[in-house]
Amino acid sequence: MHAEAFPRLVETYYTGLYRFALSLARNASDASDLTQQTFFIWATKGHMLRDEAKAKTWLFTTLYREFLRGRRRDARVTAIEDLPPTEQDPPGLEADVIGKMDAQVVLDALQEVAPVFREPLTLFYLQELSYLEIAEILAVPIGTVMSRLSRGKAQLRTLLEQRASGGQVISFPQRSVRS
Amino acid sequence: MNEHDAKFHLRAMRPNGADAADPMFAEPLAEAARDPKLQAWLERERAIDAMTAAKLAAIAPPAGLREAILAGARASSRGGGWWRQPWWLAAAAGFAVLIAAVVLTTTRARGPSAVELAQFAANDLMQAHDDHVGFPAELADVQARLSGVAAPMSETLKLDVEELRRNRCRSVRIAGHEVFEICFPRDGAWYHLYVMRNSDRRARALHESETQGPDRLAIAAWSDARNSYALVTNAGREALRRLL
Repeated sequence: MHAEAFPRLVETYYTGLYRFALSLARNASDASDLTQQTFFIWATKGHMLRDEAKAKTWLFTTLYREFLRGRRRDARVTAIEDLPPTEQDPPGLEADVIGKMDAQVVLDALQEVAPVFREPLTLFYLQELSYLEIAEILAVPIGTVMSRLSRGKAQLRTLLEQRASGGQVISFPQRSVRS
Repeated sequence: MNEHDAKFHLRAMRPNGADAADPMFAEPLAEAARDPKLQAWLERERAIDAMTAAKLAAIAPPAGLREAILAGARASSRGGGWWRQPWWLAAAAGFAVLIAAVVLTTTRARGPSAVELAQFAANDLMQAHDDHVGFPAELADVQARLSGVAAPMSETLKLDVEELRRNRCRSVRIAGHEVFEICFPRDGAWYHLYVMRNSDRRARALHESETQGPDRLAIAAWSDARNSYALVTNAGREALRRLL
């Protein structure tokens, strides 16, 4: 890819990358660092990528790997079996309820979703990546992405519903397991 | 495909229609078309997803992030030296970095600039420095001079690279140019001075920066008529400034 394409690449993807980074890191400063670091790696290694169509997946994959690199694995992996049972279709929550919420409230709720579900869920809601691309970025099977999306949505909607009703938010268990 | 399976698949379909042509969703969509209850669920699901996505899309990156990324890339493209490391560009592009003056006037043909020497010095200190082991005794005089040289060092320091070479000072190479490194203690802290013949006589500005991350280093770089210098310490920016 030619160097002159870099500003276009930044313009196209930096917003989505930042939002993904924000959901992972959960603070604006680290999210900015992750986004910058991702483009720095592109600037130094991106020329090896001949297929420009792969740039998007490459950038999101790189950002995710950089995030993981900065975290101890044990701190990241939440025990799926410790999580509450999936509520397939949380009752009562409608689109217009979310519509009345402030974007930051929705983001706060998303950031409370267990990381293992939050990662694919954020990529899904960015709407820039298919489930196939999400599976590639997170290096998990397609079925796993679908399962995590399903459970992640249930968690997110439960949290949103709690916010909408003014209820207390109950955190998910923090105990970790080794995979 | 039963209702549960159809829902399982359809939850992975983006609400903006981008996956409409994906064969994976053909069967569950057909199932929804046949089942009014499933169709109603799908419409509600997509409405909730679309609204959630809209809220996420309303989160804007911090002002200046795009410009910082592009500025970092422009800095990276100057010279393209092999010694460049991610931490430096992250620092250069980030808001936390302090750069008192940046005068990137040197090209590869003229040799590394003072700023590039500073980049190299900080990187060398983090990755290759042997922690004062094996320091040649012949350098004791130079080391003592450095420990006592009057501030501001950027104006008072005079070093002869031939003296450093004669006294077996550690040397490394940056883009083919020889750089000498000497450590010296001062006020209870260690400082590391990197010196090379000045290949950029126009770059007289004093540069000051600070790396990010756990190995936080304060760095200053300057040039005089003969040499370019980079001074690095982990004693903090204020300690460094007292010498400048």
